[in-house]
Amino acid sequence: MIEMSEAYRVSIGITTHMSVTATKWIAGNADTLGARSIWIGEDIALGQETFVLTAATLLQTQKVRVGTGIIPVTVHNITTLARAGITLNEIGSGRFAFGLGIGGIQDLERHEIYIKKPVTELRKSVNTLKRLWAGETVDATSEVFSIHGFNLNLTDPLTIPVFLGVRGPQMLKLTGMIADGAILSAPFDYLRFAINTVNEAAEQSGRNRSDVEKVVWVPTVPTFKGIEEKVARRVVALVIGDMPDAVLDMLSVDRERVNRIRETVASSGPKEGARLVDDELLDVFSISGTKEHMVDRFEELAEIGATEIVLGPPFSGDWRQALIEIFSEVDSRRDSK
Amino acid sequence: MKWGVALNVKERISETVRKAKIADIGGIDQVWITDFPVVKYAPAVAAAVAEQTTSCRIGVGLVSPLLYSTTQISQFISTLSDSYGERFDLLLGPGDRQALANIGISYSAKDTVNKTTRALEEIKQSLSEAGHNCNVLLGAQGPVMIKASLKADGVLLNFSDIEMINWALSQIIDTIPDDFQLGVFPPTYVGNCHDFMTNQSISHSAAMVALGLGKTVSDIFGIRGQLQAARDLMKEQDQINKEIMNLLGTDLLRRFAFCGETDHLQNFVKDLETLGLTSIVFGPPQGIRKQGVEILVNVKNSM
Repeated sequence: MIEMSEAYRVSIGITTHMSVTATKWIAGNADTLGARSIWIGEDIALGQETFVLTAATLLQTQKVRVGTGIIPVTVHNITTLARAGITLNEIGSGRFAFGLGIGGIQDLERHEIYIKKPVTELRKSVNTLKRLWAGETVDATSEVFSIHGFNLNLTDPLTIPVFLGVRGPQMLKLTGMIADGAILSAPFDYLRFAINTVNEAAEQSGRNRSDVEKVVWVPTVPTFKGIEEKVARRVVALVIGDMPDAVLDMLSVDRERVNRIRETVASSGPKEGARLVDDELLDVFSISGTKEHMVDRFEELAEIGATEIVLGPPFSGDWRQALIEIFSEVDSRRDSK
Repeated sequence: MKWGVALNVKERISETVRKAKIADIGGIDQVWITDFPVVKYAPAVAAAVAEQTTSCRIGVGLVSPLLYSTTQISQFISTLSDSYGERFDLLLGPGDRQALANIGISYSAKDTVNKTTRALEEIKQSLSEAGHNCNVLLGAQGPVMIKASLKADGVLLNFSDIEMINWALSQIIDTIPDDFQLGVFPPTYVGNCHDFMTNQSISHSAAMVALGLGKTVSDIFGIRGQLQAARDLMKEQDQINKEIMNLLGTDLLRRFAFCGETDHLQNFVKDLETLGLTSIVFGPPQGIRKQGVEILVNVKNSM
């Protein structure tokens, strides 16, 4: 395996809604493929339990970093997050990264979770977790949690990397100020703005821009290996359904169509919303096509500051072979440089 | 009699796995991975144990449905079973009231029972529909929870004293379904117990169980006054200390733990079998001790 260039690394993204067979295959092959990380997205209350899946993935790998990408702080007790963090950090011997976020708007509303001040909530959550991992006994309250005199009985302080899955400008600034990395999912035009915002916030708070990794996770659709486009369109509909206005305002897309997709996803789900996703939107909101074209787009992302690019989901068609060929394509280009 | 041992109390995960392997090879039927207020997240530790063991069943719990949603509990058992085989059991119970209050979870006694029993039914149904062979047990001490346990696959009684176990059994003895698992989960120390009070690891564990005893059961055994005085002091001092231990006294504390040499344990297990019990889970501090699991393996194999 050729050492990857420092420009960007390629990782694999999985979600809790995937089968054990699929996630095991990815864990079993990630090191060999040369993946930097496996990021695990939590589909709230669906499929595999997120912390067990993360533990199993850490146990099945030796080199790759394994991160949650992301876990909504709003659906777990903050002490459960703190406890899971130290447990996974120990299981992974330092290979674990804790990806956190507020959670998708649609998802949270489906679970009757309403947060008035999401930026404040995320800041308080991260601050509380870091204090607990530092070994402090903590009293803290927020919109969703309240702890008194709680500590983790740590003998030594722990540093667990925190990545934030964010989109809006205030969230991006928060990430630049307090996080070890950003997990970004948005169209290219917005990613450029997002990466700049994170970098500026990092520098304004006395950090280096390189202190904050920029992980880009957009739907990847390798159509050269038989993936069904309807699967990709469904994922794009979901992404659009959760996309804040602040992001959409920066894009040159058919806004009327986008609004109709959001309304349809909210009222009837992503399957119905997918019917309205045209080729243009598919291209704006996902990386699709041949392996050569996909890797071209990875390189474009690296040029705008992405340090890591996540492949998948959706996993459909012959996705195993697609992964192998895409990693191979990335490697071959590095060989030739 | 099935033997189990509680792990994941204080030790590092590598130590929990080491002990689980000794239990697995030594013929202990089940290791229990304890959860909150223990710091490590039990389902993830259970995955690490499952990777390194082959035969023993792995129990997760005590798990509180006041802390986790029923969906999350069903999900972690399903994920463990799908990933590592049908070796997992679950112990449900409300958990330590004060520890839960400290993390923002407070319910009335009535709501606690209702929420726990509802969770029990939902989780059993969910795991059954998914085709999992998981025994869902209820941890119980008071009469309401003991009776509620009949909806579970079994009960682990939080008693060590034969008179108290007999009383607990009398609450359900006429209605116990076939294949129901009747067990106890006593704080355990196998070894020299001549000076119980200075052996803090066992006396402290016994005090925690004693102080959690409900009013009804305390009244039945005539120990309510003694326990209440200790509880009042505990509210002032916020931790179990020597003063509280002295107030409880050796005789009372000894009723809330098993502490004795090997032959004493053999006799205790035989007494439990005579009562009709089918399992015993040795609670802390036995699993915390460096050689604690080896001692249990040796006793079991000598019976």
